This record gives sequence, structure tokens and C-alpha cells, in this order.
Amino acid sequence: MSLVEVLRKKAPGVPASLYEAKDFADAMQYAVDVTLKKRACEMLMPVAGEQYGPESENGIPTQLVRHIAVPGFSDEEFAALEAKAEGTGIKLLRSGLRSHLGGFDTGITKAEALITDSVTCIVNSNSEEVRIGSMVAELSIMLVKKSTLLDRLEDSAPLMLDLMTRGGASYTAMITGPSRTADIERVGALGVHGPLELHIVLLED
Amino acid sequence: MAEHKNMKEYHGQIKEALDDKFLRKTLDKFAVDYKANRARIFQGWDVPALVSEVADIKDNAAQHMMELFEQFKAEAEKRGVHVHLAADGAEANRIIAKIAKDNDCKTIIKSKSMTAEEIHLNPALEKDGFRVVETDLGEWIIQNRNEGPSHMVMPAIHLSRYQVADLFTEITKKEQDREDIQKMVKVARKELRAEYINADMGISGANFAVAEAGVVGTVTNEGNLRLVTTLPRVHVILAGLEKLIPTVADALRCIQVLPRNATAQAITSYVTWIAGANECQPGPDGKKEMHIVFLDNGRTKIVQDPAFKDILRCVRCGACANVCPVYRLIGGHKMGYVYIGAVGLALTYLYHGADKARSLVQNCIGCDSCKNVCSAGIDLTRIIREIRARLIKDEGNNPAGGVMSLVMKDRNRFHNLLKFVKFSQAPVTTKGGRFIRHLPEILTGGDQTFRQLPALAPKSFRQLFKTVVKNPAQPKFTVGLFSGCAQDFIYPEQLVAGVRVLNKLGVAVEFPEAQSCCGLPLEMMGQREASLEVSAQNVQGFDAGKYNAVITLCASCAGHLQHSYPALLKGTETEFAANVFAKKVMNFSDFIAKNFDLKPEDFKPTTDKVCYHSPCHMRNNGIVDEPRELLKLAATYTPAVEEDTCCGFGGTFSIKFPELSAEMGRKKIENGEASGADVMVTDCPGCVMQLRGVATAKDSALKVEHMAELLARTMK
Repeated sequence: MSLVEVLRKKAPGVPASLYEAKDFADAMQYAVDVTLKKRACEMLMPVAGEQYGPESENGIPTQLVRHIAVPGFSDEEFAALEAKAEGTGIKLLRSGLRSHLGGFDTGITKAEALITDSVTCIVNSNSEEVRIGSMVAELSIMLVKKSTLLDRLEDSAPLMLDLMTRGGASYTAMITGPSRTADIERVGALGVHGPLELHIVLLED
Repeated sequence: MAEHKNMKEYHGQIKEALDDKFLRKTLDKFAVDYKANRARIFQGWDVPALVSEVADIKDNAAQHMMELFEQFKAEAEKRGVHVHLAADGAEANRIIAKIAKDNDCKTIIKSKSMTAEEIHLNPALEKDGFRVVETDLGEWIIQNRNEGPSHMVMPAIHLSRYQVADLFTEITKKEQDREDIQKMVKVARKELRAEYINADMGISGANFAVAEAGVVGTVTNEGNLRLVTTLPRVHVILAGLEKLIPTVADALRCIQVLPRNATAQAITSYVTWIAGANECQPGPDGKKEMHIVFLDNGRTKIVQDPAFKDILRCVRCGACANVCPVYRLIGGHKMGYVYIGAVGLALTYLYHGADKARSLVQNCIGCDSCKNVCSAGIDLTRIIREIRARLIKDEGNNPAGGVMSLVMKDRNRFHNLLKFVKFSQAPVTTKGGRFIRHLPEILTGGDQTFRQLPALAPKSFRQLFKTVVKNPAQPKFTVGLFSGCAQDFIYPEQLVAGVRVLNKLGVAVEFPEAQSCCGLPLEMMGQREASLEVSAQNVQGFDAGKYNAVITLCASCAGHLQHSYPALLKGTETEFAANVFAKKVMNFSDFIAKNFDLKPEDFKPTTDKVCYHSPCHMRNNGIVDEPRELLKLAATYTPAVEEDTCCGFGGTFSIKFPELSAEMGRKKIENGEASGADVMVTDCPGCVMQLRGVATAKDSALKVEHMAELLARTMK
């Protein structure tokens, strides 16, 4: 089985959605589509006097504007997303995510690699914007280049060591699926603090 | 968090747990689910090889603990981290409080750390006026209930959704749905978000402190750690010195076993690696104020102690609780102080002292399930027995243990005493002389009415052996028979059956007269000196080299002879002989299944339906399928559910904790009855004593017999 096939087979169980994009623009279209399709983002830090939408299924006010956070995007990448988001009402956030800690819809994160055996994304999170982008979003999208697929956890050791020791401080994340807990009666629940959903978008190099 | 002044108070706490219906149901279900899920997630893995690799990695790390500390410190300091070393919990608490004060922090958020629980960090910080908020869902729940964790991985496993809903209603001052767990989880999501944002300092724990990169790795599912370590301007990591490990590759190898063993996951949602003072917008110069506090609290001393050093391999997966038959009945609050489960009993003694551990360490049935499941192959049963021996060495012997040691050290004295009991027991026997009447609690130390205990047999096996043995002229094998006390004096008929079966198969059987008790009961009571004496007597009494095998029909004796003798007798003059002896020891069923290609036609046709009780000391030493192969040949095998759980005997355990022994025994018999079998077959006289005793006391139709008896009955 090729690594892509392993990924296809294993992603649903994580759970993670898998989308194989034709190109970067297609990946951005996917991000816009899933953002428009999801229920409006909950506002976990409502401010008195602000306008909000109807309450979510959890009794929490929802936000009137949809947001996609893309810390770490180059100008070119950002332009590709902007083109797809145009006219949709979606607001794009490139930085300043600390002002959005009450929640935003989608965060797009570029992964360094993906371990197919466990469907684990390796993310260089040295930038705090990247950390917030991948934690505070309700829906987290990981962009993974096909050439970076690894087989097993152990195969990531050289890359991990490299990421950790490139100089100065480092914050390296291995992310497998959404935020989860089973702390109440051992019943599984997603989105206890971080993303409720994780989407992997596979890119050709 | 079990705290009690004495055993009597502890029994009271145990009763509370046994009466908690929700807890019992939850832990029963968890015990069954865990086993199945673990088997599934390890499919295709060579688990023993992986475990032994982790053991080597951790042993190597522990041996070089302080060198790794220096290496880690240099690497971390290069990356702008302040590294501290605290001699004990109080010092660690002082260091962390000072960091908070120096940085003008008021609110502190935490992600899960058992080490923080170990040193009672939260109350210490709260006493200094800081507000501390746990963010792991389970920890947040128990913090708000003023409780300690009842499991290392699932701290709130003892609570029902209704208790959580009521708590959340109280916290939010808003009526919460009492059924919908998904909604409850979102309450935490909402409530905790503001806490992350408003906190000045975050405290997290560590699964690995990797020396080569000065990096700390943590294994989590909720992702709270990522917020705790990102949003506040100050970050403190608290790590036990045993978390130091040389390389990233070592840590990744350990991660192959940790989540699989803990929660049956291939990997957790988040594995986070933090090296140095990272970017943090509200921090000084846009960087985190970052500290790592390493905790000694006895660890550097434990490394030096050959009896205890293996405990530092522990990766805190919690599996030893998941498979423990005692944990299953009473939960973590009654089976540990801060750390719970089997490793908790040991760590309570090592980190929190003899006073907290004295009664707790008695509450191990010695089944070896923990040793068998441990991520790092720690022989927890041995360590717990060692602690009992240390307590006696340090605090003096108790009357019962003293008498037992005195009697057992001298084989003749022991056998004379048994003869005396045999003649004087007649007035208290019942059911044809094979059982003794229920004795008053004052004599037995607790309510033993859950089972009918057997009387001593009229003739011991050593008196019968010569009359029953018919060795073949040209034997295929010659074996030495180790009888063990229970079969020698209570159930000689099991050995007689065993000898007949072996002879029929062309095996010559010898019975060395100089053998004595295997010593396991002495070990269970911490009687190390007497245990060493009987062990040496047995090794010397058996010239094991001349036999093809040393056969025993007692699973517990076999386990002890094989796996404890070499370690116990290490460094004594019998060390070499003990190793030879231990290698020769085999369980009766295992010996037959492995050496004889028996076919259905070797057995008489029978309509007997049988189920099996797998003795812990066979199963947990890898003998699982062999006895069942024999069962399938000898009768109709109708498996019962949970054949692979403890019967609740545990020798002196069942005298010390009859309330727990009774629950385990009853459950086994109920499962046997439900299977539709006529007979429950097993491979250990201790298990027979317990199971037949419970079945007789409740007038069950289910018969209990030893494998040797079944084979003697059914073999042509």
C-alpha cells in the first residue's frame, strides 16, 4: 500500500477528513467551502453590547461574520485564498489572532510532514500565531505536501530533531485529529478546548 | 486519596467504595473494555520486545540521571530557560511560588501533571494567595469538587454524568443538561476559555525531558496544554528527574507504547515538544518567561536501590490500575494516596512515606496482572512485596508474621504442626470432613463466610506418594514433582491424579522429600528472612539438573519458583542452583500440552461441559492457550466470560481483605454458572480452594476441579 493509500484508509478513524487538492487554489476553494458550510462560530468571550447571531446547540451566542485565520501564509498564498473568499463575506486573518481568542471558524496551518501510520501532522509552531491559529479555530485545516508523507512515528525522528534544534527556542507539535476528551464517563467528545474538526488537505508538490 | 490511621479505618473506606454502585458498574465495564481495546491496538506488534526496549531506554536514562540533567540544563539555558532542581516537594513549591511572585502573577492555569499532585502544588500556591485553575477537563472537575484524581489518565472516572452536570450547574449558575455529555464538555470549553486568556502563568508537566535538545515532550488529548503553554506570559514546567531521557528517538519509541497502553490509542491528539523561551506577545521582549523545575523527592536515592530502581521506568500510562482486580472493585481513591493502582502503592511508600503506605501496600493480591501489562516491564508485584519486607525490617515484625516465619523456617516443625491441626480439626469439620465450619471472626480476622474453607486431608501426599507412583521402566521423561503446601496437605488427590496421568504418559515421577513451602505466602507477608531460608532449602532439596523438568500442579508455586527465586537468591551460595532450578520448573498442564501430541482418541467420550479459570500466575507468565487445548480434548469446552480474571484468593490476601476476595470469587462462580458448564477446571489448588469454597458456600451446582483430576478421569 502506498503512503497515500494508507492515509486514505486511516484518516476516517482518527477522525480526520481528507481532501486531495488539485492545486493550491483548489485547496483554498475547499477551505472556503467548508467554512461556509459549517455552523456559525460560537463566541466564547461575548462582549456586552455587541451584536451576535442565534445561540448554538450549546446555548452559546454565535458570530455574525465568518473568519479564516492563515498565520504563516506568504503573500502569494494569501492572494490565492483572497481570490476564493471574495464575495463570500468571509473575513481573513493573517495576524493579531490574540484579539480573536473567543473563537474563529477556520484555521489553515501548513504542516511540515504527516506520519501516515497514525495520521499525525507535524507542525512547526514556533510562531504563536500558528499555535493560536491551529487551536482556537473550530475547524482546523492542515495543508500537507505529498512529498512529506512519512511511514511511521520513528521515521520522524531526524525531522523532529532538526525542527527542535534549528537554533533558539522551538515549539513543535504533533497533531492527530481534533481536540478530544473522554473524561466524563469515558464517553468520547471532540472539541473540548481546541478544534472540533480536523481536515487534511493533501497537496501535490 | 486514601488516608487512614489504621487497617480498621481502611476497611471502612473500602466498604464505602464497594457500596458505590456507579463506581462498581463503571470499573467493571472499563476492565472488560480496556482488555479488548488494548489487544486491538497492539495487533501486529511484538509487545514484549517493545516493552523490553522501553525498559532498556528508561533504565539507561535512570542510570545517567544527573548527567542527563546537566546536559538538558545546558541545552535549555542556551534557549533562554531557567532550570531549577528541587530536592523535595516543599522546595519545588517554594521555587514555583517565587517565580509567580517575582513575575507579578496572580492567576495560574495548569495542564495535567501527576508530579504537581505528588507535591501538592495547588494548595501550596493557593496558600500563598495565587488563584490556580486546572484546565484538563477531568482535573478541572475534581479540583472543583476538592478531590484528588482516582486514575492517572482519567482523573474523574469515579464520577457520573449527573454529578458532573450538578457541579457545572453550580459553577455556571445555570441549569445544565443532566444527560448530554457532549454539551457538558462544551461548558468546560466555554468556561475555561476566559481562564486561559486571563492567566498570568501556565504550569505544565512533562512526559519526556529530552537531554540532547533541551526539549520537553508532553502527550495529551485535549489540547489544553497548548493553550496553557501559549497564552500566559510565564510558563513553568514541573518534571520528575526520571522524565530525563537521552534522545528524541528514545522518546518516540516510548510513545509507541504509552498511548496504546494508556487509552488504546496509536497516538494522542497532541504530542507537544517545547524547547526554550518561545515567542509570546505579552512576555518581556515578546518572549516567554520560561522555567523548568526538576523534582528529586527521593528519585536520586531510588536509582541507587536495586530493589526499587525499576520503578523509575514508569511512564504513567495507568495500565497497572486498568488490569488490577482490586482497583476494579474499589477505584483509585481507595487504592492509592496520590499515585494510584499498583505503581501507586509503590510510589506512595517511596514518595510519601511509610505512614501513608503501611495499610495500602497490603492491598495487592499479588496476581501479576500489572507486571504483565506494564509499559516498561516493571515487576510491580515484586516491588510491593519488597516494600512489605522493608516495613517489617524497619518497624519490627507483627505477631502473625513472626509465628509464621518461625514455623515455616523448619520443615519438620511445620509438618508436625499440620499433623496436630489435622487431629484436632475433627470437631469443626463439616460436609463429610472435607470442609471446616465457619469460624468466628475473631479467629479469622474478618468475615470468611463467603466461602467454605477446606479441612486438612487425612493423609498428606508425601505419605501417599510411594503407594500411588508406578514409574515406567523406560520413561520418556523423568520429572521431579514439587507439591506445594496446599496440595500436599489439603488436596493430595490432585497430586495423585497428576502422578497417574504422568505415569500413563510414560513419565517417571520422583518426589524429593526435602522440599518445603515455596515461600510465596511468606513473601506476601513481608517475611523475607524465612522466605530466603525455604527458597534455599527447596533449591538444595531438589537436584534439579537431573530432571527433564520440575513439575508443579500449583500455578502460584510455579510462578514463584520460576520468576522470584533467581532474584531472591541472587548473591547467595545457592544462586547458581536457583537459576538451574527455576529454568526447569513447569506447570503440569503446560508440560503435557507441550510434550505430548494428544488426540481426541486418547480420551474417553464424555458429555461433561467444562469452563476454565485461568490462574493469574500462569496467565501472567504467558501460559494462556495450553490448558485450553487440553480442555478441548478432554471434554466439551464452553468458555465462561472473563475466564482471565483473578479468583480473589491471593493466599493471605483473602484473609486480610475478605470483603474484596468475596466479590471476586462470587463473580467468577456466577460467570461459570452462566456459561452452562458443569465443571470449572483450573490449574492451581489456591484457586480451587477459593472457587470451590465460594461455590459450596452458595450451594452452587458448579463443580470445581483441578486439570489433573479431569485428565485422570477422562484419559484412556
